[in-house]
Amino acid sequence: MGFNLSKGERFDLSKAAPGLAKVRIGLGWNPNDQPGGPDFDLDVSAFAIDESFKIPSDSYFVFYGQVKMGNAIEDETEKGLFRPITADKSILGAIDDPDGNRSDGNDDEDMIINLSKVSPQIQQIIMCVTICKYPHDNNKDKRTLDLNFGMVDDCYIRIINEDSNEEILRYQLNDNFGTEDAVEFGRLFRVGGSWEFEAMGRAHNGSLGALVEMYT
Amino acid sequence: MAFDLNKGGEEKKKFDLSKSPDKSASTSNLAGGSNSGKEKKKSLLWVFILIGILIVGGGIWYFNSLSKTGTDEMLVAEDLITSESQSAQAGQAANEIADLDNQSTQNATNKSAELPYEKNVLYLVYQFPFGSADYSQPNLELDKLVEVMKQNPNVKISIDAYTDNVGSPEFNQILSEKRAKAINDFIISKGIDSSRISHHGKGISTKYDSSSENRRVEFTISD
Repeated sequence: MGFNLSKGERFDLSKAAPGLAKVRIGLGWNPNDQPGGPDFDLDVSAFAIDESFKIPSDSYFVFYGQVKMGNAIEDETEKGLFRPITADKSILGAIDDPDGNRSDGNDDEDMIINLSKVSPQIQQIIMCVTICKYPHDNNKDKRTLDLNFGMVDDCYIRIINEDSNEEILRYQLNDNFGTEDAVEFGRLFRVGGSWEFEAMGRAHNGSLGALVEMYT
Repeated sequence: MAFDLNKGGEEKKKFDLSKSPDKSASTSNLAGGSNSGKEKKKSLLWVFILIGILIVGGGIWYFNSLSKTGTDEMLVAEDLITSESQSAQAGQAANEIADLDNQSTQNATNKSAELPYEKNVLYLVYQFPFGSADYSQPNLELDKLVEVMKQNPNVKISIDAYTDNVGSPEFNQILSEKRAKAINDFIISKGIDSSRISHHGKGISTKYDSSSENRRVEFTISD
């Protein structure tokens, strides 16, 4: 088990794991599905932003839609499934898992980041989870409009050393976001020549669209 | 940049962020034809009621002001007594500060005092008001830090400033840098060499539940 972080705490990855290059970001949650209620579909996305706090080009908004846009790569182990990928090939986004069946017992979704490959213009990578809502959801179910993170338990983000498979840190979100449907779980940011992680837990209304507005 | 956030088969080329409310906002029609006569009568009645209230209120105010003159004189006397005791207290405080200054000058000329701070520990020195980067209110923690730096000429510090999470990240980054600089400038203005201080704006912080706690400035003893 790695370090447990609290909201707002920062962690120097380079000091904790010298030479760390490739990390896996695992994210998990446990929605309170109601019998006969709308399906919860939570999505992981990342915004790799530059000094102006905006993505420098389209592929640095790492989300499920990039697969349709052609910025994708087949997963190494799960053949036939694709991950979004950034132009510098450093960030492999999450495989979309609308019904949550892929992830039983493990992280719900994960991303892989090769920190040594991240383009020098990228200063921060913000990792978010959003609730997919009407009209963007698969089932076109208007009841999804009422869903929020107050109905989702056990949200966490953890960072794993991809080479050794050791967990470096974990942040369990303890807030009860009773109205919000988009949460910035954490961010990686450069400090000189190294990378640090901050446990954010910053919530918004407006689902993924609100974040797109902020960072693009 | 336009992104298609839709899942499933339907492909839309453009992501529409605009919300289209189901019902258009309803506005009440204040100039309704058949009701206009009644409305006029109602408004005349209200004007009379208002004038009545003003007359009664004015009368009460006049009689009150007549009986208050004596009380005012007593209040003035009380004010004088209070301000005298306050100035005595201020004089005492000034003497204490002068004593402290003398002590610190003596200490500086003798040897470095024991450091009340540990390395690699974050010390809170100031919390800024919402949206502000002005350091104006005197602060005991910061005064103490300046004294310690005067007594220990080899001590260097690193200042980190943060903001709450209201507003865009870029705005908050700039604000945090201004806050760090304001504290840096204050310490320098007290006679500390700028080479002993580094300062950084760290942008948004969500460490604490309350926004006021996140709008903070911390320092660490650096090597």
